[in-house]
Amino acid sequence: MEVVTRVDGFCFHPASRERVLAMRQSDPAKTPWAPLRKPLAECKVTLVSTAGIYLKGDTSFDYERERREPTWGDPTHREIPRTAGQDDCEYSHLHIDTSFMYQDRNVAWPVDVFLAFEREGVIGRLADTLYSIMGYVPNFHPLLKKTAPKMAAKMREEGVDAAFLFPV
Amino acid sequence: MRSGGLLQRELERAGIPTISVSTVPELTERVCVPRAVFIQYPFGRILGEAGDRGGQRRVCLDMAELLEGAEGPNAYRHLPYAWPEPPEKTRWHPKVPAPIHLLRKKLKPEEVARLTQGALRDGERE
Repeated sequence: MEVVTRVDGFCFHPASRERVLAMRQSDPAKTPWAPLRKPLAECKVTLVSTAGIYLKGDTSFDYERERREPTWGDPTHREIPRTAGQDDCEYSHLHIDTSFMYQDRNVAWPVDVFLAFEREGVIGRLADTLYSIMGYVPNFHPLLKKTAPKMAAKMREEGVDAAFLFPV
Repeated sequence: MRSGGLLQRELERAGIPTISVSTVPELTERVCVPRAVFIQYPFGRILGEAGDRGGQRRVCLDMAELLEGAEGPNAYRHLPYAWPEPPEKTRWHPKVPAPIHLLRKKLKPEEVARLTQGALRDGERE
């Protein structure tokens, strides 16, 4: 069995190397930090996807504008109740093949894995509200200044102790 | 991947401890996030193949372990799991190319670079 010792992020898409390596390096000394305050088995946790997931019947992410303006992406988020099932949602990101998520959301959105963790006591509880953005957002200021605070406020309101993020 | 990392930083800054999984460590280490596991899996199937619940669980448990064990920011761990298909046979592209990819094909590389850099400088667009 092959073992990866150091992940090569360009293994599946070598053409993106130059673009990624040209991105700005943040200062690691300024990385934010919030300590986990209790054992995970006592924590309420939530999940955050970037796969453009939304509940069927809810407003879609704005792909019409992205098609007209390809360097723009919808910076808003959608809330998804933990009770929503595999077939209750759309998996809509235009930049990946989401057909695998339609077969089994747990390839990138592990709601069923975390419901099992809750039953088994690995986590205390899965929060009532889960979240998705659509991860192609070159215009990231509104994502950070408007969307993120709304998500954080809702998480605090629900007593969330930790968030697991799944960028696709 | 970059937006996910930037969002993670904002949630952490707001007081919520966070952990993410990234398929592009070179990018995530540029963004700098509090905690992340790295995995050499394709976009769209970052936790494993459809139906592979055992493999998906394993990655989530690795995330849980790092969330509990990390003692400070920029806590990264490379996961050892190898994708079962060779890269050239692994599907991750959408059936219809994304609008920016269609645009890249139409323009010269320097025009695309100018547009993309413009978009970055213009990050405040609503």
